[in-house]
Amino acid sequence: METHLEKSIREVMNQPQVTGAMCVDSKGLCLISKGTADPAASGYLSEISRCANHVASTNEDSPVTAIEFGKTQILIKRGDNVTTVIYKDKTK
Amino acid sequence: MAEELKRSIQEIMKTTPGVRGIVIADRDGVPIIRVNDETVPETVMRPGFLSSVGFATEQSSKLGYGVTNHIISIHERHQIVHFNIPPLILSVIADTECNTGILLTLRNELSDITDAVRTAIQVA
Repeated sequence: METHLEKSIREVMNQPQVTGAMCVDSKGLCLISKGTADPAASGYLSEISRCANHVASTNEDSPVTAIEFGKTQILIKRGDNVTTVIYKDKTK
Repeated sequence: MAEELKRSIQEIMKTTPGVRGIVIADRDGVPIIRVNDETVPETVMRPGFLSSVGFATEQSSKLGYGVTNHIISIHERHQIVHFNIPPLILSVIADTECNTGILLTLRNELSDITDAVRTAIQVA
């Protein structure tokens, strides 16, 4: 299972502008993190995504939440059991 | 001093929804500071239970993965996160559905308080 997760995260890390990636389980615990993604923030990021789900979600899909900083953008997408977080460097 | 620390703990509890109680105990399971609401079972506060955590921490440290940082146990109504902060054990009791990842950040948020307790113990 971890091998599959590692492979997927590596693919994400190879995309342009991506500096970090993380997967978080339904309890807010970090499953895997690479690059600039901070495992200590996993709980807060999953909770932000959960709140965004309450604001705007359809039966088919959950929203992508974006947190914008000066140079960095954090994208959060909540799945059924796993929340995916991607850190991007906007200056690259 | 104890009242001040309790007030600080209460403030932190207010900012983390779902947290029902926080106990700082020594290695033998004797509670030094405890702040909890009425939903927390009394059994969680017993030295017998808290000392068993210290024992479990010691045993799990022998697995070869280094010193145990925390132990999470999730039950029907509550979840408990025990942090190993030698010579103290910090226990956070929260609702089962509470975000465990956020509970794990309480170790840092409570570090000033645990440092103060540790210093007080060492002086005594």
